[in-house]
Amino acid sequence: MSTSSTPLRFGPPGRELFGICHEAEGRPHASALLFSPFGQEAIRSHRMFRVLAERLARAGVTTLRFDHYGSGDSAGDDEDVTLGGWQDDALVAHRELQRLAPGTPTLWLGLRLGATVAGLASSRAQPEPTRLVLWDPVLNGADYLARLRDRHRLAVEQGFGTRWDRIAAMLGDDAPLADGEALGFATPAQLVRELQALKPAVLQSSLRLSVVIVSSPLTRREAEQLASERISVLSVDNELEWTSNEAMNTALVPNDVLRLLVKQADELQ
Amino acid sequence: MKETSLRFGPDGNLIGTVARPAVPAPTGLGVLLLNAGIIARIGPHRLNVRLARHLAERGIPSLRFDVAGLGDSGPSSSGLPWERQAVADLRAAMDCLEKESRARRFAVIGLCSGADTGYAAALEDERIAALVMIDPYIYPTLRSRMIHLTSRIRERGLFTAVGSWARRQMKRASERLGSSSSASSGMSLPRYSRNAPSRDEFGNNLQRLVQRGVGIYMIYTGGARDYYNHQGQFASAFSRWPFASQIQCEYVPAFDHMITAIGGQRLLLSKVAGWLDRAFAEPASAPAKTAQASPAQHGVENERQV
Repeated sequence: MSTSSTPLRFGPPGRELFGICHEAEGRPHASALLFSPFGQEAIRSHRMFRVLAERLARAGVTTLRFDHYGSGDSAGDDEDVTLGGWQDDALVAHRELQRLAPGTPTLWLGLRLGATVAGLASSRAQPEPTRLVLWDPVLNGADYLARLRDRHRLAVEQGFGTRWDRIAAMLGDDAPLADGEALGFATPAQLVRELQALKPAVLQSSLRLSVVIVSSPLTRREAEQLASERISVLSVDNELEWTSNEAMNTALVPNDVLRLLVKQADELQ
Repeated sequence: MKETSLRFGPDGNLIGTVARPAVPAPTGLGVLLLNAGIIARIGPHRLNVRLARHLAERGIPSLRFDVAGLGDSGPSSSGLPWERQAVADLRAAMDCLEKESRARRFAVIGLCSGADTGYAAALEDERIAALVMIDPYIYPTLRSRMIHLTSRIRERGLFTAVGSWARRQMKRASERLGSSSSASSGMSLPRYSRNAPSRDEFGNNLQRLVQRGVGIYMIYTGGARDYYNHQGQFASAFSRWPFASQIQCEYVPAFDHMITAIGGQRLLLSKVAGWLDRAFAEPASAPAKTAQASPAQHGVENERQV
């Protein structure tokens, strides 16, 4: 059963963002801002975010999910995506959420690079979010870029049903082997530079009261090292593959993680 | 160009984004962009967003939207099965774009299941004047099977390729024994899981559409090369229908099914926009229901080499 939701476009001219507000059932006791990941991971997690937003709304949490500039249904091109720009978008979306659910404690909840952006932007938000929940955040940008490259290559091989070298031999100059892209999306030079500078300590120093949820074994060790008085780390045994082209005919809505996420919002009461 | 996101449809459950050009072209054409599989309306790798903006620059308004239950759209109260609901939603989307822009006739662009929905809707709604179908239904021929087998032998070696072919033939034979009625006139598609109409049904329906003046542009990608793997396969599979020479059909081996490479996405935008430009070079002279300004007569350069 769907909750009531309203499509919105907001933000400054030229950098208009698309969002969907899921209105809380009854009087909202909290609000939540959901941060999508980058590129193909955002496409693959879209369904999960919709279901999560509906569950949060049913639990009395007015929820705004939005697309960063150059992603989803928002203005802009992926060639113009930067980590800094996405942090500014987060603040714009936060203001929009304050307008939609004024005076409520606010949860920011992000997945993968969306979690990283939430963490980096949170200290600049006015008022600051009451709690951050970061699900498999990207902690080491260089590792993330390497993974994107590997998964891009795998997706192309799967798409053509044959090995990389054979694709090159088969298609010659038309072979889809270009640098500067990952799984159908551009990885522009500025974004690459920002990611190469991203280390676990960068995110750790930005975080206030946060919960980090780790479901990927790839980042488990680094994420567990974030644990401190301010940062709780929760591990779940549910390995999900977001960095993949095989989104067609595949639903990815991990019930156990969603329950954990809704519980984080319940605790704001 | 201005984009507006809105709710529409009889239940108000559908969500989409209209892209309005700053200077609309006088053709009266609007474009509908559909989901591919379960991917939300932005399309695989945001292809629908890129297409919508590229078309808006050329004066063509569009609506990219989610059919009921997919993407951001809510479920419908109609109780229709999915394929029928998708057609009903596409027709509601045309109503919406008609209101939001000056469009009076429509082109539907769909990949995979989106192509299937566009085709099914065109059979019911005469406002549809053009279909752009990317990886639509496939009908293998003897030649396509031979090309597939040869390429497998080259890639995997004779023993493995022939063994795999023989296993598939045995499986197909046992399936035929177990089922007296084949939906595909004996042309079953190995591992090709879409519920394709029979060649006769598809051919007869395409003939009807072409006679009505619907322009049709098909693109088969290299991702479908197990089943569709050479220029001319479509014309050959439908050679006994008169329409075969009036549908532009291209095999683009450099595209994978989801058009992953950014260069491939740019090439697709240019192919689709170029075809629409040629097919709708003239303003609509009559209301949509008599859209015999016949795009089918324009883009008929069949199976160009790329």
